[in-house]
Amino acid sequence: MIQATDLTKRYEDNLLALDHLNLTIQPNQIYCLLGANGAGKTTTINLFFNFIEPTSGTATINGIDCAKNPIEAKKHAAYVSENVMLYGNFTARQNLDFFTSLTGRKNMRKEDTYVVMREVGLPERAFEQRVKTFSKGMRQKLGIAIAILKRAPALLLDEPTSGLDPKAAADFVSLLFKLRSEGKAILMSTHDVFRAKEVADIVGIMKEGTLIMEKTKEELQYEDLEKLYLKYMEIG
Amino acid sequence: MIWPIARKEILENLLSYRFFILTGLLALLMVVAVIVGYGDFLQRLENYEVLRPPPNSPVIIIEPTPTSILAEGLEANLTRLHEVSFLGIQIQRNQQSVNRIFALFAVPDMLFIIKVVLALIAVLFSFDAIAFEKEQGTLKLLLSNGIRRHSLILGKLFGRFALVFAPFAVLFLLALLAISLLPAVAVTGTFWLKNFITLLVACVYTLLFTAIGTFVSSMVHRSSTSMVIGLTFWLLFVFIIPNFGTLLAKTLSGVPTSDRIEMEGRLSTIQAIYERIQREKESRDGSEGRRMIQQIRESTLRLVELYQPKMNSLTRLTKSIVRCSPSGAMHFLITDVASTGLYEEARMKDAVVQYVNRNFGRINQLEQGSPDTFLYTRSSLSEVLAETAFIDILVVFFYAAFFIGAAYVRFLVYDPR
Repeated sequence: MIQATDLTKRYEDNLLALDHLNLTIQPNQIYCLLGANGAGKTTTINLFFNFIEPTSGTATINGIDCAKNPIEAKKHAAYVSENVMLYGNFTARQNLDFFTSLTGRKNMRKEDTYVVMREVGLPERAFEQRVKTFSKGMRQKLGIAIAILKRAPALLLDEPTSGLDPKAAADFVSLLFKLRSEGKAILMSTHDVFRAKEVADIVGIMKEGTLIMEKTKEELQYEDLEKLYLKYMEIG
Repeated sequence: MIWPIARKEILENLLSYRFFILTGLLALLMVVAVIVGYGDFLQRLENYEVLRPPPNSPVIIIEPTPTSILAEGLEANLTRLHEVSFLGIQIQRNQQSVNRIFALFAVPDMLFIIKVVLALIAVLFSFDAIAFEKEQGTLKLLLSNGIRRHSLILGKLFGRFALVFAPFAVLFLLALLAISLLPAVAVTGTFWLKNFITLLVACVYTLLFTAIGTFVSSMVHRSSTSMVIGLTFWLLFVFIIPNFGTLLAKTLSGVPTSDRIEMEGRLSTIQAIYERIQREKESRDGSEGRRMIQQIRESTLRLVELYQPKMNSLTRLTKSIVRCSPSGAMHFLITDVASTGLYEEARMKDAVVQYVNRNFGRINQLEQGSPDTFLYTRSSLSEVLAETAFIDILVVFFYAAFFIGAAYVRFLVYDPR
């Protein structure tokens, strides 16, 4: 479970990036955070990974406080960024091996990594290919493969479909559904209203560090999310 | 968790052009250094064989040491011919290097390679350790995996250090092996021990410059900025402080140049000869020759008394300032360990002065008997460590510990975003 309770972040220059954010994401749930640039989406994810310290409030993953016990909390969460960058001189398998070794798993068999790479839809020829030749879509898939191999119950994705072509984005969504069905709690930040409506169980709209709207899939069933989003953006 | 990071650093960089180019250059320079060093050693050995005086001759020359092949230091001065006469100690000018081209440029001996090139390579291998991970976006992914920051920074530091030092150590050992197999080089246990110490010092020195690169990399967010700052540290430690220190010490101490002191000595000698000629005109009892020699001796001793303490204090001051740089301390350390440094030179000077004091009368027939044979054994490793090298070891270790600590502390608060 991913949970934020009154999570607040004020930077040194006094900018209030996040203001008393409250959200809860249960297993088997995808939560989409929508918002313009600078709304606080990435700040939220950064706080869950303790890349920055919260000013007040708590971020927890599986009940573990991310600020007080970041190493333990990170063991339960996997991260996929907007632009997954890996080690270009390494092959896809070597990258997987390396990141898996950081989670404490040793002696990964080649076949185990191949299975996961097949699962995320990477072509066989790419398995032993250097990552510097990969397209963005392939790197995103490899990023998901790393997250899968981590076997973390929570998954936090920072605008993962940004810049992907429609086919790659559709493949990515299929992967998310699969991960959700496996019991993962997924938090995804995005600009893409249509993608959010397609995948989310809960949609939150953020503006200037504040969560100004939160609706479930059921609540959004008969609403036009795009109009709703634009309406909230125009207010105040 | 340090090992997976170090392993990644090694594997990733092993596949890079940077590794092939820099290691190739290092290997090439080391081959040149051994060839030139051996050539100069042979030249000095040949001179020694030709000029070696018969027993009880007032001529002083010491045998070149094989350790000078790797750390030449002041070996050219140490192995010069000293002739003792009533004029004092006459020292021959330097013997020429085997390759005159190197008279124009700095001789790239192994010490130069360690001090300048190895340090530069260490900086070039570490300046992007953190900043580039951030630039390419992998730092957040790394830190999202529950890896402790100290494991990450130490893994990076040791991985990159191993990349620089391991090829150097292999090449250095191969160079030693090659030297030991060369004709004319009498390799002893001391030779191996001294060079093993040199290798250990090079190890700490490489770690220090890798730590400097890593520290700088964890200070900034762009690898280009990090490279500029890293190179500034390198320039400061390797060239600016040692050269400026020498200049500063000379300015502060106000000691005249050795040429001026020599000129004063010559003037005293001419004065004594002139006075002798004047006196010989007046009396012809044969005592004037003795008086002249005594006069020259006394004026030489006065000069020594006047300038030696100043020269000694200049050396001490220079050493103290130059030691502010780890490169300077390392230079003193390796040359002293190789018995080609300032300590050896001072020791040798003392031995020559004592020899002259003991034998001056006999050499100039003021007393009966023939002079002793000059005997000199270079300083032992334990003597050097106890007398001078210990402080240099402390300086190099201090700087290494300081920059490792600084990189460690800085990275703990590094913003990975």
